[in-house]
Amino acid sequence: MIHAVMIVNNHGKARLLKFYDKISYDTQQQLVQEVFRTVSKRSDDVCNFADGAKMWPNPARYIYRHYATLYFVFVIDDCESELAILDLIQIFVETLDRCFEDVCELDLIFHSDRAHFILDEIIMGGMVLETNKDEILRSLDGLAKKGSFDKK
Amino acid sequence: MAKFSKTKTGKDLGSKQFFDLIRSIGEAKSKQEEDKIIAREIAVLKSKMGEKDVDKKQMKEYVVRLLYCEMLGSNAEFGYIFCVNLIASSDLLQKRTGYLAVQLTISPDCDLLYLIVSAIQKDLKSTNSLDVCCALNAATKLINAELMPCLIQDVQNCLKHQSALVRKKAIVCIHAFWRKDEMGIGDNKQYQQVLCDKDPAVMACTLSFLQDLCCLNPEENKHLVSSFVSILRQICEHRLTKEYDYHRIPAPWIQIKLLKLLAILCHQDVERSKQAYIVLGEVMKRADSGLPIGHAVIFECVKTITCLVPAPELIESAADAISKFLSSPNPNLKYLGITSLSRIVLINPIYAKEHRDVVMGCLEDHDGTIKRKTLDLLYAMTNQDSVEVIVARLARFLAAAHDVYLKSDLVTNISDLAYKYYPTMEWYIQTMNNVIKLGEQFVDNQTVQGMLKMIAEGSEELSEEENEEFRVHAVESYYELLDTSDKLPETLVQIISWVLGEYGFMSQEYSQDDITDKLCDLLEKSPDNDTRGYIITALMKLTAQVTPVPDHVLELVASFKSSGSLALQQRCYEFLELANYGGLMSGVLPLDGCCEILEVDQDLSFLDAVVSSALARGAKDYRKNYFQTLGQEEQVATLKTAVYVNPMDKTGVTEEAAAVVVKETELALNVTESKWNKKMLEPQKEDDAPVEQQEDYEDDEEEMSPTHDANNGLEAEDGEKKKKKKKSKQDRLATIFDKPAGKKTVKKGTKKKKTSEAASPQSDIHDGNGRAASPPSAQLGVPGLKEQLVPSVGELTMANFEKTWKSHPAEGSGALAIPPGIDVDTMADRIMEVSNIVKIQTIGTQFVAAARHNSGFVLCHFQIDSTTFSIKVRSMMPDLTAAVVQHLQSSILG
Repeated sequence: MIHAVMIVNNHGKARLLKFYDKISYDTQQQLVQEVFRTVSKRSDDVCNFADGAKMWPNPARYIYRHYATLYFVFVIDDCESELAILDLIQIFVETLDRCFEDVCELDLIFHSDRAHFILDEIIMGGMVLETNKDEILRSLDGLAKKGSFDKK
Repeated sequence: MAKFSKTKTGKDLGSKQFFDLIRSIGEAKSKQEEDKIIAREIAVLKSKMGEKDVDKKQMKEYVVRLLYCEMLGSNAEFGYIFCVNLIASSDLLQKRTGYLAVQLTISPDCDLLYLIVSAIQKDLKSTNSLDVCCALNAATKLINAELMPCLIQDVQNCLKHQSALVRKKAIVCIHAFWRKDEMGIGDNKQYQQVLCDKDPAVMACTLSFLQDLCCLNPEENKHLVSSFVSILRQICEHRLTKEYDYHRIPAPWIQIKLLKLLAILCHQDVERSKQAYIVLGEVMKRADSGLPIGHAVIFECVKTITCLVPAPELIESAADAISKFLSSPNPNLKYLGITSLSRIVLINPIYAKEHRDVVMGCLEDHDGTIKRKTLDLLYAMTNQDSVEVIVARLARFLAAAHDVYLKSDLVTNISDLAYKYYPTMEWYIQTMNNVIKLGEQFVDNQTVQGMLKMIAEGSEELSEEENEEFRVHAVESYYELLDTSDKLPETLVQIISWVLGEYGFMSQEYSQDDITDKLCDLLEKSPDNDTRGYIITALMKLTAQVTPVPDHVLELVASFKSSGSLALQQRCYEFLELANYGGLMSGVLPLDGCCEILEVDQDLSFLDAVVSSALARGAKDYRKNYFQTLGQEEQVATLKTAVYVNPMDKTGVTEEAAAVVVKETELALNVTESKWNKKMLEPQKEDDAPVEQQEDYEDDEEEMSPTHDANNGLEAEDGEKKKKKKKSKQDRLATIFDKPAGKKTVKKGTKKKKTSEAASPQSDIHDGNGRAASPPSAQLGVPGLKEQLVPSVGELTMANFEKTWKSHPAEGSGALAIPPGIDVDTMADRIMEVSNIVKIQTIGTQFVAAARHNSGFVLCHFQIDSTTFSIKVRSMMPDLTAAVVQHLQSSILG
């Protein structure tokens, strides 16, 4: 399963955090710093996978992508495929991009709720729920129609 | 593509306050400054959210701001209730924000959960499918095993919902429930139906759940193989609509899940593996698109192929794919190549040879992840033929490594490989010496034990002469190592001391005096108490056959009598005492005695003469005092290890001292059937306990066996600590010895010590059982008494029980009639159940027990005498004692 999804910027500040295990609040903060330390040390020409620290409740691997100012990190266990998760990150980012029309770091700060909603349509309870961008957006659109998803 | 530029204009960036907050945090120069800003923001939110009639839309923004603060690591607990309120909103977006907030903030054991559960219940029944989706999301994250029964029915109903989105979420939610409580979702079989859902996306979501179920119980799910094969074939043949394509590969995520399932179910199953062969070949061929997602599918195929019953053709194509991965410049593919190679070499080592150079090259890769994977691979690739080359390479790598995890893995891998495949024992010892030098802190005790075992027991393949030759070689090479190296790691010095002590006498090249002197030098130089302990023991063994023990050795050892480490002190005193009895010492520590098998005299018959002569002289029979009786019986069973094991268990010895004790015990017991360990104890008893001294015992206490003093002191210390009293050590010793029980005979003093220590782990076990087994409180007896008592687990041992007993003045007793045939354990369990009073130790038909009370302890002594059960209680207050007696009398049989 996927243990956690994190978006952290180049300075180690969390922009979006989602843990799918029961992990105490303090541990979460430590894990974010741990993940950041690990991925930020890696140069751009190495592989996108890193072994997780021993402090995770289960053996973990970090699958990450680095875009300009942000690291997108998915923390997974042995039951997921590294390369497939890498593409899932791509799908997540592309969906964000479509939803925010050319997404930037500030969008994630001011509309963290919306970013979470998108993620919730892709991953639920640590399991991959949907991988089709149109389908993800459609379920969000439903939200926009019924509620007041303030599309610009 | 997304650029994530830092700023952008023309976007909705929320209220001005929020914008200002973000900006000021962005500009903060230190963590302290940032914390201050966040604290200010929290204060603002606290007052704003608490205002009356806050507009819901406004509230939603506050909640988002609150989430932001929490994400940065501060606690905003005050706001949780507002998040919960937002769930009840009729506006979907607000509701959803509320649900999001509670998922992110509230822990599954928070009280607010009950409010949330009722909201979820309501929303699961909503006619708006989006409400249902929100509720399912929240349930997945928040609901614990306890609350599941409230929701499971509603969630199951959602599996039949008309919206595919709801059905998808419902099955994922049930999966999450299952992970929290496997019994909480009813029969697992019913969920296999979801696999037949008309929407493939729902089917896909079921696969993860099935994967977990199959992992747990492959046998029961084997019948699914044909379904999975057929689904995989359909996907592979492009039967799904275009929507499921990703980069022109049909539904790659579903394919990967199915491949994983096949790997689990077809493992070691010839029939089912055959079913999967054809489709696997097909999937591999079609996925070869050169795109990352295609590689992901191929990689999964390779993994599955290595799990199936081997099919040469598939393995060949898997090997081809691996070669392609390995030779790729893309680091991700290289990673996949190494990972999959480590699987395929398990099937056929030939592939290891083919790629060995490439793999060795990967060790030099600048990517840490690939390095780690390569190590795993090399570990899997190693066999008798390649062990020397690979271990040499790994050792070189270890010397250059900096990363702590990497080093620790390397040390473990090298030690394992060397132990498994060593070509010669000399090579093994050499390699291990090297490993200890390079990464001492990562060498675990087990590895050290393995080395010593190898030296002590030798190899089965070699003759006894050859093994002896090897021991001589070990002694001489270690001696030379001491000569040539200035500073050796402590672990290595310990090993060297053990070897020299045990087998030093065998050496032809170096005389015993040479070795003794060398060890003396080492002892003088050594800064570590553990190591000193090893060296002193080695000296003791080495000089055991020499009468008298050389003076300079005794002087040196005597200088550690006042060491800060009690274990070390003990060793010195033992040595010095034994040295007075030359004949005894050589019998206690025979040459090459570490592999001899011990016979334990269970009845301690060798003491009979001493005891009867003491009795004849008019000494009291110590069975009459029940504490003494307790002592004797228990001693027999645990004599061998008691002194070494227990001090650290309960008596609060410093860690340092405890470590020595443990190490030494393990050494003696694990590696060899220790002889000297026990022998250490027995003669001491005889030496220290001549019956003639009986009358003078009180006066001579300070000169008594140091072991005795030290350990009793420690036990007392433990007891004292608990009571938060401070006394000087002197006082403590005085109080301990100022009791009749300890004065009987010296012999009993020593015996009692051991037994009392031996008591602790046992009582612990019983405590644990008693507590685990206790059902809800009993109805009879003194109401509320049980609640006042807290089970006393591990605080009291027999040693401090006696003392504690004396410090609790209020005594009371009672008795009740019981049916014949009830045993102690039943009674103890029952007493635990009705009163929280926990058994500490049993002796025959008696046992002692205790519980903690505000005022101190409640201490009990029970005895079963066919149909009478007598109770003796002590506590700090007469009222409490009386209440306990009354409670026990009225409730035990009730």
